[in-house]
Amino acid sequence: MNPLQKQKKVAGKAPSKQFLTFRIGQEHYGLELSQTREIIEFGGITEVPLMPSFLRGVINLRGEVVPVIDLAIRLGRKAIETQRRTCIIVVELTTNDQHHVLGLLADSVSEVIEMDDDSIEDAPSFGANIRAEFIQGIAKQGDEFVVLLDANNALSVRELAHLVEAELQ
Amino acid sequence: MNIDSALQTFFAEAEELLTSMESALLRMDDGETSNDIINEVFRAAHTIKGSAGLFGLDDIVSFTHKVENLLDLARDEKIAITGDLLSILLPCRDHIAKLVDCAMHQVAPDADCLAAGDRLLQSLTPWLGATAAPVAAAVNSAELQKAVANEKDLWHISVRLGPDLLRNGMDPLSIIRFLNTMGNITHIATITEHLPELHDFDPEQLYLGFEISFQSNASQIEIENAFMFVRDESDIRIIPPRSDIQAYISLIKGLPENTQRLGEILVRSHVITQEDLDQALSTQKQQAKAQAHVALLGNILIEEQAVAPELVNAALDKQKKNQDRRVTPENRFIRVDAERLDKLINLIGELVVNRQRVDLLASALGNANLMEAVTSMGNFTEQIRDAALTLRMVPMADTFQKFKRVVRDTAKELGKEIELDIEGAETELDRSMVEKLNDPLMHIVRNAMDHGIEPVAVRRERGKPNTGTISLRARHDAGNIVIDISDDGGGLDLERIRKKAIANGVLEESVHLTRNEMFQLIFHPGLSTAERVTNLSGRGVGMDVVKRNITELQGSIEIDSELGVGTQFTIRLPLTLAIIDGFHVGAGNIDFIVPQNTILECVDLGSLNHVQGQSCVNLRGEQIPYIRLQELFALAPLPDSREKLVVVQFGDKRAGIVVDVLHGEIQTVVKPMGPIFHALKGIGGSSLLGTGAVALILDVQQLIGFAINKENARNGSLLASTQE
Amino acid sequence: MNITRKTTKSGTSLSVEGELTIYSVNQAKQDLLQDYNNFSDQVALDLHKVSELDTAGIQLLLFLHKFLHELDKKLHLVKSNEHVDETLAALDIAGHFTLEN
Repeated sequence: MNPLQKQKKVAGKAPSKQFLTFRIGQEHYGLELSQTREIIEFGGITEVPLMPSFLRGVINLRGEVVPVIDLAIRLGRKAIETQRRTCIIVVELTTNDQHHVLGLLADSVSEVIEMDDDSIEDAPSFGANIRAEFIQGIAKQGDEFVVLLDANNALSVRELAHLVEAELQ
Repeated sequence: MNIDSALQTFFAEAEELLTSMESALLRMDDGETSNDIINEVFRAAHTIKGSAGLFGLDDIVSFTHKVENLLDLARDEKIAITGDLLSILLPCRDHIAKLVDCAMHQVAPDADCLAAGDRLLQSLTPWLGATAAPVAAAVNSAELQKAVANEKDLWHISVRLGPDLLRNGMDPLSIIRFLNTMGNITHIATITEHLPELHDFDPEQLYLGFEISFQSNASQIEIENAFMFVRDESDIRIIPPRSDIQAYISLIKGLPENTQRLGEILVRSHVITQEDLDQALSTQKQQAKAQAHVALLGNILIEEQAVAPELVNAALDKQKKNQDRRVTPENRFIRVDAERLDKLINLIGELVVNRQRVDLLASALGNANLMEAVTSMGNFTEQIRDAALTLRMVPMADTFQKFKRVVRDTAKELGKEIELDIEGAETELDRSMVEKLNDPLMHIVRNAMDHGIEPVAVRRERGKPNTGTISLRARHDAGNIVIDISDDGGGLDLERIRKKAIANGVLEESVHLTRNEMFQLIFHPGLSTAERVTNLSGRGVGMDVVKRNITELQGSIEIDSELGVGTQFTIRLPLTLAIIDGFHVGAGNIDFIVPQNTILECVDLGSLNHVQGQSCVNLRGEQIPYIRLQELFALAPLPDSREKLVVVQFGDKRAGIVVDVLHGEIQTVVKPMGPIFHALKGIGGSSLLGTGAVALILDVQQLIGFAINKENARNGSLLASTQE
Repeated sequence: MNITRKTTKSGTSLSVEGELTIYSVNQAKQDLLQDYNNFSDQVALDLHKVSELDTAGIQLLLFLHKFLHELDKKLHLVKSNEHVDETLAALDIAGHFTLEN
């Protein structure tokens, strides 16, 4: 290591983020691309007994055991019904140096969009019937509204664990 | 050699050395007084000091140096090691450990720390002052001894360092200061010939060389090692004292700078005399005249039979042999990067899973030859797996050794007489568990010392020996490691526990508990927080935390005690968490795995006699309570299932698990399920089958607990065991 | 790290303040040699404000000495402090810069 290496700071541009958009029922949602690892076909889910309905089970992802969450139920919607385009979005979240991998069920995956901070509107008055802290913001794509999720809250492992615990009481 | 990784190695080795220093000091305290053991302590201090010097860690060097001096006197039998001295040496060792820790975290030791160190050194003076032996020059002093040394006893070191040395973070000054701790640099000449012109001069590049005259009793290897971290890019030549003049001539000729100037330096530093120099040089001139070419140095040397080759070779090539410096006297161990080991284990885990797949496919094909080959491969896979897992095992000795010190110091603190008995220290366990075991064990031992062992007076009254005994025992048992911590103290008073539990609302007055259940109350959070929390390395932990730590390691803890006689804690832990031998079963349409080492037998449920009105069977006279996985996990029942009973045991408890299908033995890699499933009882992890499906590994201990509870519930006991 | 140059009746004086180490030698080289053609024949070197001196720093000073010598100028160490003295003594260099040389 060269002790003389100095870090150059690059002046940043206004940040823009990329989002993976997907559909649940008639609604469009988005997750930060940086948090999504891959998208896989629906299948090979092993049920885990006694779990609440949002926890569909686990899958074997190349040697890693990953829980699969029905995002629709988590967001207060009707459970996802499996059909041809149903898929699992594998996300990777890092909070407090803890690393979590989860699979999310979605009806179908759409496209990746890029939004800069200015184009993202705040959530509150939208009335999407989703808990406010789950939403990072709302983006408009053509005629559609895309609800951009705050994965760290919507998929908070601590909260999910509590929900499981509550179910088992 | 990379400085950072070398530094990391230093910290790791220093830790080991400090541990063995402590162990040796404690053994001396126990009465071992041989010169060997004093040497052990000396060597440890000496090595730490030496290595610290290479990295310029001056605080460590100067403190350890004094301690080393004292130990040197001890091994020369100039002073005796008394109990008083040991009581200072142990804190000295602790102080060195603290300084190393500061260096590791790149913080300077604070004023208190330094003051403590000074006080320790002060307290050593009665022993140090007693001697007339010369003390080596103080580290931070840059004064050179200009007194003319006996020229015959001077080493000559010629140093030409690599150009990138400064950029890479090394400073020759630290090597020079370090040499001064091993002896005296009587003369040093800086070679500036290679400083370039202005436009070529890069101030960050090193152009300087040094010619050093060095008086020392150190060995050549020790001097060579001072340059360990720079030798790869540098040219270091060392000429021992009393070498023949030709050695110096060949050095002079071999160096790039001007011969005459080098000769002058050598003369001025009293390594050789002017006459010797002139004579040797004139010999050369004569020979040159006599022959058409200048005689190569080697020829002169050979003809005059002057110098042994290794001098000319200087340190460089030979030092490569010294590369792997061993710390332990037996050279049986090698240092392995923990991450690499884990990676290896993971790969073997994948191998195990893949092997299952191959097994299945081979069976499906039905080719006898193929199946035989696959079975054979399977055997080797198992052996590789077992061998790899043993790499992760470390003996309990490392953990137990800490307690010797704790017991000694705490006993003194408490004014009690307590001795520690250790058995089975060679018993091994998975290294990932060792650290997590430390706190629970420490707490139990401290508890035994604080509350268990009585003061001497009380013990005498009770007719017990004055010295209380705490014993730590470790052994293997059916895939587990079992650790017993027992004391011959006052034992647990069940009545007091019961009263306390009722007072804290943990227990109903009317409820009757078995002895075991009463003891287990100690682990109840409601109870332990009421206890006085003693200063356990600053942490206040209760028994409930101890139990939680053990449970997190998939283990169990039990207590047995007799009032007035003593107490015993028994901790059981699985030998490894990574790969287990499992038995694949099915219930509903879910795959489960039962750890093989818990299974006693498998029987058709239908063939057994049931005990009237209970989930309990009579198995050859013994009553075995059972639970149905299908019921426990609310699984859709399989029609036409011929249920099987898998009889399992954990510790001394037995129960049965009812399943629908028995599939067979498999080796399986344990995959943790993740924090989301934390609250799920009865499952201890997941595993991947050869088919790719996920199987759930049963937590046998919990299941046995459920089965027994159902029994007890039926029998009217109202308090469920505190299962986490 | 700060280099101050003064020209007085008795000659040029260079004063170094702060760290003279591997981290600052590049800058120090530029600063010390600025306008060297206008140095007087006797150059006084004042190191008493040097807080840290390492081999790179010493090398720079040796270079400076050699360089000026080739221009028939003399570099003298006129003021020092304990740390500088110690460090120079470790390499036995102090003699390099004194008036006798």
